[in-house]
Amino acid sequence: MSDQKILELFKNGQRSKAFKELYKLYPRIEKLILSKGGTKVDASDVFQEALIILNRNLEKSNFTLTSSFYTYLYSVSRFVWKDTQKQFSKQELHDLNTDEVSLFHNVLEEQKYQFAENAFRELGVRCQELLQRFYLKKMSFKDIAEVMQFKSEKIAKNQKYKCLQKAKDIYRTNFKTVQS
Amino acid sequence: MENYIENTDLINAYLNKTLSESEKQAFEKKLETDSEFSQLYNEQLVILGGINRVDLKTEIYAAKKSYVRSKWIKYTGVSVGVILVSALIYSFIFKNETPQIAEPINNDEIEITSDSLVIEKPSEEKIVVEQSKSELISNEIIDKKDGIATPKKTTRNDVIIKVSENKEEVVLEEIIKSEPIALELISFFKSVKKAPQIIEVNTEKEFTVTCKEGTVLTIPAKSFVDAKTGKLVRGTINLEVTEYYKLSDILLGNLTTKSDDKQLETGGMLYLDANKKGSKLKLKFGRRIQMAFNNKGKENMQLFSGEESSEGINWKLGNQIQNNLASIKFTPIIEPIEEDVTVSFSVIEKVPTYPGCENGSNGDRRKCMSDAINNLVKRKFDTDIAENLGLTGIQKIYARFTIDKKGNIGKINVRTPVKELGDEAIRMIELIPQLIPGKQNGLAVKTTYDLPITFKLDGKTVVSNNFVTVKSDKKFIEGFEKKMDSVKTINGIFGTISNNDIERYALATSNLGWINCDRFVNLKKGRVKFKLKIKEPNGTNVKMIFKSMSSILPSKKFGDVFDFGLLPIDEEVVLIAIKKTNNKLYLAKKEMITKRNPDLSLEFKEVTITALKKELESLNKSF
Repeated sequence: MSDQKILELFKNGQRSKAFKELYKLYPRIEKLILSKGGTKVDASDVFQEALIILNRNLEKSNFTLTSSFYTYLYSVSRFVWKDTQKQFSKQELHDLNTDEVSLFHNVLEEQKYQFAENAFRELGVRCQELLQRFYLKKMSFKDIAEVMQFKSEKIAKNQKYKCLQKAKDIYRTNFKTVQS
Repeated sequence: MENYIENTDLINAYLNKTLSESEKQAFEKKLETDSEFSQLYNEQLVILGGINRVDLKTEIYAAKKSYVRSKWIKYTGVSVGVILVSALIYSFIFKNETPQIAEPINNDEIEITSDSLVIEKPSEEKIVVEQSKSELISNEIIDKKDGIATPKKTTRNDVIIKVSENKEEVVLEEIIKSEPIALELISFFKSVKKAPQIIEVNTEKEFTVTCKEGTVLTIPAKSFVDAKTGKLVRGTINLEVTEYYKLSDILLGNLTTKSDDKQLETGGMLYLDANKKGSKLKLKFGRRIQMAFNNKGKENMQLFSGEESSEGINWKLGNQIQNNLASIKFTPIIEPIEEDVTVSFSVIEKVPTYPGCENGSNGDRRKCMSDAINNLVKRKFDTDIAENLGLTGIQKIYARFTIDKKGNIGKINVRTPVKELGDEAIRMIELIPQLIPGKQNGLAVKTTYDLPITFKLDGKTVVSNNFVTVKSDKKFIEGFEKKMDSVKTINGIFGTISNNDIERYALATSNLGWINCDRFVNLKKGRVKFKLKIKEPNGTNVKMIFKSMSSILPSKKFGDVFDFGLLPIDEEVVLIAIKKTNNKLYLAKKEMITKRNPDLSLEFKEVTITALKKELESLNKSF
């Protein structure tokens, strides 16, 4: 499938299909990570991260893909891997061109979301379900109250704020400990 | 808190783009001016991003899985293609050889017959000839097999082997599709099940019992262990024996005579079970129950053990079962096939040696043994028997016996004017101790020994031409049984003696459960596929009884079709269909001849259990 068609899949909301297509590039990315001393599990994680970053950029209105999907995913994967291995020298960072700088910026930015994800995963199962129903499935509190058997819409709403607040608290403490 | 909720709501509304234009502008301005609000907004974005990642990850994982799956489908698709092509080529190349491939079916049977003949150790020349013939045939077939096998090896690779595996799977699936026996019928068969004969067995010593219908069981001392704990059981136990000789018993027991897809003729079936105060027992490892089935005149019987399933019972040849027990090393009891020559005592190179005659030349030993046997006759032969019978004058008895390759006395043939004298001669010959076997060309061989016995009674000699022949195999059977006992590694059923002169089969089993004394039916006849359709087939079980032999075949139920598989053509049979639905019992009985495309309809009539039993019993005569 051509890059153009994959791009259309993303735009038409057929993200799953697009991911499936992009997975055809995985063997080559795996080779890269293996050659850099990573394991197959590392390679799988890195590629997943690259796909997430790609997806996030595609959702931005001002993003245009300047290269092929392969080149893009290859570069992102390389950055992700190097970053997790803390292998960047000052000289290397200095020598990056503008495209690479923005990629690297994306990789670093994604780390915030990783922390948020971890914070979310630390929540109770019910909190996770509630937040997912509200933010991802865009369900109304009325529906959520019914499905999750809250006594009223208002209790569901209140519960949602508490859960969100808890996630934020966890995120803040985790993020601070890393930064300090 | 109120403020906070208000703000998050606002952010949500902004992100969901539900704000009006003016509200939107106010919101964006607030972001610029209110740093606290801006921080709240950014934080919210990050958390949402995090939640989003969770969703994305599951989506990516699913994509990965479906990608891996499609990759596999592609690979297997390609390999299936390769397999199919190579299978086609393979079948094309070896098309001409198919008739030969069909032969191993016969081969199995020939091998089996030769096996049993080897165990038999026949002493009559006629049988020896037969044996070597069958050996020849089986060798020939093995050669042919090899001939086929070699080209196979060159073209067969791993891929093709996979083909055969796949095919088997397909076949298995097809078999599975046939329906199990209906629950209502199962409960019916349970209700009419023959009650076992319960025999109290003292396990402290060897125990022999003749059951109601004539099966003789011999159980060695201390043979039972607890099925759960494996501990030796002492004292008195209950042995439950159910004998199935009568056709009606077999039918009501839902039994048939089929081994995989081969038809069997039965010489009796048994179900053995043992318990002590309700706890299940099994035979101790290596211990065997010896049994003699009550079946006269059927040759070449073998022992099968039964496996019950939802479709009925399947019989497996004893030896096969042992081979399946991969964990237990099986030492075949069948001796290697040797040149089985019988040499006369008078000409043999190295004569059998009587205990005490070990020294001296061949001639010396021959004389020593003759003297020893003559002495035995003088001392042990009870001439009073002859006197009591009123015989007078010179009496001549011609006895001939074989000494087998182990030095045991084998078959004894006696020609005598009076049976009683023959019996006495046999008694006496059986007293001969074990000898060192005779040798020819350095190999132990069977030796025949002629022993004329002459004695003189008072009175006139009456010359009589009326001789009777008295035969005995007792020593031989004892020897066989001893040999079976000496094999220690056996777990399963094994061994056959089939001999025209023995009217019963002495067999041994080391497993309880279903046991069947059977032989394979090998009619040199055409075969015909036989299927039957029945309206309202639910709860029906159809069996076929052969009039010419003790054989009952099951059918497999596929919807309203009852499939008997391949049957010998032009056989007189009786179809018996038992049906149970809604607590009503029906029976249909139809006599017919097996032929292609049978045109028949079964007429069911409602019966009581007693009437059903009576109907089935009326068939017993023809069985």
